[in-house]
Amino acid sequence: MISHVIQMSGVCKAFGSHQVIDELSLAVPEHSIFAFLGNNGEGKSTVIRMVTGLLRADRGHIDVLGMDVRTQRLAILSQIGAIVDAPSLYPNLNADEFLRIGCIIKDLPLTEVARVLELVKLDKTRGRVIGKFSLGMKQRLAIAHALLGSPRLLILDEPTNGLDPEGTLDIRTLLKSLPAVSGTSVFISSHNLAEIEKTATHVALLKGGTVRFQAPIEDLLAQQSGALAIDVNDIARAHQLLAGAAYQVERTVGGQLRVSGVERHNADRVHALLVHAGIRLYQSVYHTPSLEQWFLGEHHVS
Amino acid sequence: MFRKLVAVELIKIRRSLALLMMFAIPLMVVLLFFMMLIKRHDLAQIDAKTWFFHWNGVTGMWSYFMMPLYVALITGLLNGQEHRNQTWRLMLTLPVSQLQLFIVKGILAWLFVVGSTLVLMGATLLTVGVLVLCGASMDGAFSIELVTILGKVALTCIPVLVIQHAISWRFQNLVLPLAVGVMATMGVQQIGSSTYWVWYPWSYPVMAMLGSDVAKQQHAMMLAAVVGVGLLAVCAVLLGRREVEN
Repeated sequence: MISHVIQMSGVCKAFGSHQVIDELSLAVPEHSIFAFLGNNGEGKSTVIRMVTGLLRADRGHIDVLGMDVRTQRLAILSQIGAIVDAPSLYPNLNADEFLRIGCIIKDLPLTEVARVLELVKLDKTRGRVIGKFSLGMKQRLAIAHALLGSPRLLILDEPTNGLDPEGTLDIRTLLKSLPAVSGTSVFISSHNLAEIEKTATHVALLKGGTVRFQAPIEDLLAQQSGALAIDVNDIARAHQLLAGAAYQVERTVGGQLRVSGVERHNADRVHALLVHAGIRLYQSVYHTPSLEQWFLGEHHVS
Repeated sequence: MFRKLVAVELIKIRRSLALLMMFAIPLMVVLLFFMMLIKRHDLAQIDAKTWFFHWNGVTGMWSYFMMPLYVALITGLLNGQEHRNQTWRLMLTLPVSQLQLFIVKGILAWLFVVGSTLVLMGATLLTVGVLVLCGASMDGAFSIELVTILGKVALTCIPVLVIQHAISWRFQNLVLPLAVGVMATMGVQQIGSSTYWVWYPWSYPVMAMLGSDVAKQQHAMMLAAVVGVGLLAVCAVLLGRREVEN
């Protein structure tokens, strides 16, 4: 029994003189849905390529499923499913033939093909040539391929790219069920923060070539304060009053006041302050902290 | 693993251009020589000498000119399929080593060369048979020696195949392996007739089939076997040093 499905320590990787990954350490707990976040060019794909053994780290140690990726690459790959970058498919094959490739190499029964096609809801198009698939269908098929044999670890790069809302919901539901149903741990790299917030159990932020933060997503959001959007009869006076009480206040385009840095249980203090000053409070909505706010805050984007 | 990988590679070529080319290119050669034969000779004029030149023309054209180009094309298409669709990443995130994949793709390309040579021989036999049935002389029309051609092609194409396969594996652009194939084939005309032919793998098929004496033909075949194995070993060492993806 291992406690972490991916364990990286002191990993460095440079391309020529450009140091992409610098002393990166990361621990992905077993049975978690671990989101790996970062801006474009921060090295997320490089990390995924190193984890899958496509690239070698210049320095440091990478263990996947308790095995060293340098010496036991093939043993690791037989127990994981991965999509690296965009879905890689053969347009001249149909879905059935394409999935048979994975089954043959991984020594799986061909009944797996039907199972995974049903999971991603492509069972009715199994005979259609992949070249005629939409982007969303290709994404589903790539996920189906990664799911062959119920791998212990699923590594997905932007898994909901190109999916319509229904497809996104399907894949989210599927991914969330994997740790409980098949014991699969999921490692996702994505830019879709709203989706990650709904799916992931853990999150890590890659910035400047190293992991700046990693924690359960609940802990992360609990540390953040939300914002209160209030609608009053006298905006100017309310603004003055709250700013004077050291709240961060700003006027929104819709003619409301947005009070940042307020925790939910302290919202009534803001209300009381306004009411005691004789300001009529028409509406007050508490916006819970989001992953997007946190991410943008970490990147100093207002 | 090799057996499984061959099965996988056979799935991948379904509905592919490579499969179409295995039939189209040898059939073009056969059709060309068939047209030339019936244009130049009346059926009654065709004798043993005519058949000799006909078979020599078909096999010579194939070994000297079309086969090396076909090797360049087929290795380019088989590797290009992976480059174009970025499926190296898919294959190499499955439990497969680079070297296994390289060797199996090479074997597949070799099977394509054998297959296309079979198509060439089969289609030529068919056209000869049709002409014999229509009244041409049977004398010299069929010879058991023709079977050896297949074996010679299969063996002597290996060094060229390994070189072309390595280039196509390494470089994404199909133009580069094709350009190398075309230029190297043109070089056979100069180098193949000189004493330096032993250093030039593209001349081995020509020497093995059309060499002036049996000793030279056997020399070409032995060279092809040794150089082919040597080149494969060099590729294996280089692949071991390279990162899977860069």
